[in-house]
Amino acid sequence: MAQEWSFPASYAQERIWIANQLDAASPVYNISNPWVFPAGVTPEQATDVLNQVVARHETLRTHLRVDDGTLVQVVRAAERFELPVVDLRGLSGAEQERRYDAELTELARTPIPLDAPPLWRARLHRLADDRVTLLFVVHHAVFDSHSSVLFAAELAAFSRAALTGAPAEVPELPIQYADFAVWQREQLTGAELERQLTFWRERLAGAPAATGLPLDRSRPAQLGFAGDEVRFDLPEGLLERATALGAARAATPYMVLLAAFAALLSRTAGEEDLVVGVSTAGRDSTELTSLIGMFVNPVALRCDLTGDPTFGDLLVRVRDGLVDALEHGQTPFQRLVEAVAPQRDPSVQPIFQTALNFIPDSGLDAVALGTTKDDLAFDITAETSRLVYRTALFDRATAEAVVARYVRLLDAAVADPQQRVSALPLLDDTERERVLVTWNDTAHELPASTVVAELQRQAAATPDATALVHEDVALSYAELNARANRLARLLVSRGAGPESRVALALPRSAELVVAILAVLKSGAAYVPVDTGYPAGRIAYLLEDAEPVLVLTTAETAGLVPAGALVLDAGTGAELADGDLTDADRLAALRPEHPAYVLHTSGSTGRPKGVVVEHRAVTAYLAWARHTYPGLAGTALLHSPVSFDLTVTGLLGTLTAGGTVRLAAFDAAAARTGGRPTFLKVTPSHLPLLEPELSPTSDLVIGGEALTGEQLARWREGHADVAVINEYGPTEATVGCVAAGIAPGEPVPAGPVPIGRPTWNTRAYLLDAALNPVPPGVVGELYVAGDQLARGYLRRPGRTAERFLPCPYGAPGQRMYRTGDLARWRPDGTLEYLGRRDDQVKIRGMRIELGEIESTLLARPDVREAAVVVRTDSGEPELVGYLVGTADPATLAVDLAQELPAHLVPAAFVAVDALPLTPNGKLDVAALPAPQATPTAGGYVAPRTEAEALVAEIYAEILHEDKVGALDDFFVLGGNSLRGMRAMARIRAEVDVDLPMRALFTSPVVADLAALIEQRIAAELDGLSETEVAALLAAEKDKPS
Amino acid sequence: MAEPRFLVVRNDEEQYSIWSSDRELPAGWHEAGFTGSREECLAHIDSVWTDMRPRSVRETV
Repeated sequence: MAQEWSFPASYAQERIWIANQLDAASPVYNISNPWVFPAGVTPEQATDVLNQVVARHETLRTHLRVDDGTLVQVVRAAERFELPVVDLRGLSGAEQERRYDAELTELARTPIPLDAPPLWRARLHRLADDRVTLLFVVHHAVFDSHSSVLFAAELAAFSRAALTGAPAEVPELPIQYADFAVWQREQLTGAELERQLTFWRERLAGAPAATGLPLDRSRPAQLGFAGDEVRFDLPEGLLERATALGAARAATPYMVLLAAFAALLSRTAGEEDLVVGVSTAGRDSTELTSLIGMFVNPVALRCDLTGDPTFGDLLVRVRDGLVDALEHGQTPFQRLVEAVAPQRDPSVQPIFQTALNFIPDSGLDAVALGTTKDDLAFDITAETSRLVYRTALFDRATAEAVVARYVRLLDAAVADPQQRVSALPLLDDTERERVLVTWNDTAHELPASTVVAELQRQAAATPDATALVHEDVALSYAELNARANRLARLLVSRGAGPESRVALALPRSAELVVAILAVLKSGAAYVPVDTGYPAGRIAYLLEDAEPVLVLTTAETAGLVPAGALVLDAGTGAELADGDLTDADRLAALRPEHPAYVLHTSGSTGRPKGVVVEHRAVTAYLAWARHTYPGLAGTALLHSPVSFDLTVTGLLGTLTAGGTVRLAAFDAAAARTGGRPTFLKVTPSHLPLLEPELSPTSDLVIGGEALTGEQLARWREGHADVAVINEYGPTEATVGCVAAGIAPGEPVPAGPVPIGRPTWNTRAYLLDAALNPVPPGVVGELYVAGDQLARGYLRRPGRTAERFLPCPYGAPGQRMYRTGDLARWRPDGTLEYLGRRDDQVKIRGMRIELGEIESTLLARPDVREAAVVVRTDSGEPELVGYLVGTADPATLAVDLAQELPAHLVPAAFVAVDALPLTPNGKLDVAALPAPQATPTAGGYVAPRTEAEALVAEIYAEILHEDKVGALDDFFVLGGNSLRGMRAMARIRAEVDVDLPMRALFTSPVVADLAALIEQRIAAELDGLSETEVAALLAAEKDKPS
Repeated sequence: MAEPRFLVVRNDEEQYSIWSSDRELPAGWHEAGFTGSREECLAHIDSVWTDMRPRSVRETV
């Protein structure tokens, strides 16, 4: 065997080696570098030429090896390589090309193991007597993009020499790559390294840990390298215009391209602070310029887009940031990661996940490898450019849209750099038309009407039908209407009329329904006051609503101030029972008068009364009657009338000829008279829906976000029922966006879309500058159209803040800012993504609570689940609550197999049932705090032999006195290099095939120990009982 | 960084709202003669929008 010399690996080699370990079977680091020899070069000469290049550059004779837990590069003495020659002389040109492409692709996609020389593969194709081409694929650990330029130049020089006999004109190589690696290790130590790391710590302090880009799929627990690419050409002249713009501002074309990328990311992710990966050539001294080898070092460019700068100003910020970053570009990236982001999360690439490279000279790799290192990375060249994307996260259509938007934005920014970033175009005209107009094409002719007219129309049409059942009381439409008319006349005599309010402090009863109808008929707006509320809240509502009158019953009279009208069976009995006309009212009743005022409690501030006009309610009811045929049957009304979810089952039913059954879920009356046809619930109610309560026609779900998992169990038994996911803030009247799921239609796991805007409603998803966001991108939901409320009672400022001028409707219209986040799916349906104010970040990562809940609910041993963010311990942390038989103690380990580490709750609490508010939503405040966990600073002694082994090795390598079962390798100060040693020690001790990535996925002693035990168990599975017995006996005999 | 400026604006129904001063005001809305921070504008609206009925409703009563 040829002689070998070992040298320390360079930092870049170390980084590539570690990354390669994450999936050694991936060709992600292969670079293909084909070359055509000049005419006349024979296969023998071609082999000589390549051998001469290999002889000059030690890197082409180098491989990497771990010696005692340290990575070394091993250089082998030059020896002649023979190249396989494929003779294609007899084939047509097209056939030769096909063979060439196929073989190069095959070579490029075959992984090159780092532990055996050489780290390249080559083959010659003989096309004609005097034509030879070289297929050459090389590992990134010994080659970079500048190397390909050098490689081609040397092949050319030696080929010329071979043809002419003259000496080859190649530069002298004063040093070799290994010299550089040694020098680099000496150079970047002590104070100099610390100075550089300090710069990066300060530069990246508080930077987002992960890109906020909207993903098509959630992050898998393990990223992997699977990728794809979209190739494209920049429009003619754009690169030249970008160059000219840069020149005018002392900026390079790269900086212009980067500024446009930062603007695109900021607009797409809705973030003003982001980190982009850029690469430094790493060839700072002249001795390095002619060396083939891996010198490139990534650095992080943090981009500040606060204050909505003009593109020109952003370019200056990017220029200054890049100059600074490049000045510290020698900091080995691996060191930077260890200094800045010691917490490992294998679902996210550390420091940056998006990158942009400008390689005008080298061109793109000939072969698409189907791999990626970053989530999204542009390679811009003077010819064809590409976007490489991670297929685990993005669909091809999304990547194509990113390319289109980048080009459009760059073009516009370069044309007018005075534009603010928020004003740069993201959508083309067709997309804009689609999201603003096509997907809001909801026009439906409806006459303006009052709820009163609709109720009376129905009472006249079906006087004898049963309108209302409560316990043993049943009222026909005629009876209900007559009672409401009598009471309405009394209310008018007590001052109720259009633009005034009557508060209803009544228990759930037939009287309550009569009272609601009576208030409406008087022309006043009803203000429900839930009699179950605390006295202070009732007092506040009554004061806030300024009612002309408060209605109550003897049962609840104690809750309200004196002077309330106490209803009993005789109230208004003497008054006429015919329908009221405007002559009977204090003023004419018009569709623009308020019908009700419902109080909504925001997360901050006191409850506000939402004033909803008759025209808005009738508009909603017309759509609801059309959409929910079950309203003409029996609707079970179980929620308080102070919650606008109830409007559908009450007023919808009473204007459709159906029967309202008034009963709580737990009352026997709810089950009397057969299954209802219509029921409206919150997702939190779903586990309570026994078969007898379940509707036969329509189940409407509203009030909270719904997932397929929540719905799955109920739907198994009720596939024949239509389910409608209805979205609507009270300010847009009950429901303004809805998605129907037809009977039998499958419901995939994950969020159920909220669908499309209802009749005469328009939904806009806008960014902070009120621009429409593209499909797939998260925006805030604004609603415009007929169902908008008038505003907040006696709160002009709050009303003005939320009801804004609508730039996309008829002149003078308003749009309501919902505070909800959503995104358009490609089919024009909306996906709800939670409250804007509730967006949580933990350790800098955006958290989707619904995703974690879905994963929990997918388990057979979890019936109900809720995940919330708690701050009991000061720092925000995730806590999972579950109903079911799952063991909270082992859930974290299970979940870590499926979810990214940052989505695994820090604690789990088993509860008997999830607490609900009176309205049927999850009552977050009533969830118990988790027990303090022993991890919080405590030491847990290793509990198994495997844990003891791992703890001992950690302690030894990290020079720690005591390592416990719950200690994390990286938190204790471990880094990749030490990790390499730890894994080598573990492999030596237990003789299991444990990959390096196991440490990144399971850095905690207990988790890694569990993995080791799993591996041993799996290997044992493959053995016979005798073999196992022999093995165990051998273990026993080992000296400990 | 200066605090963003807003306008108090009003439509033909005499409903008030606020609008960022550096964005084009949508059709059908008019400046109501007050400029300030968001909170200043909202406070101004609290003091001037005393009858929240739309003009068309007010005028037919």
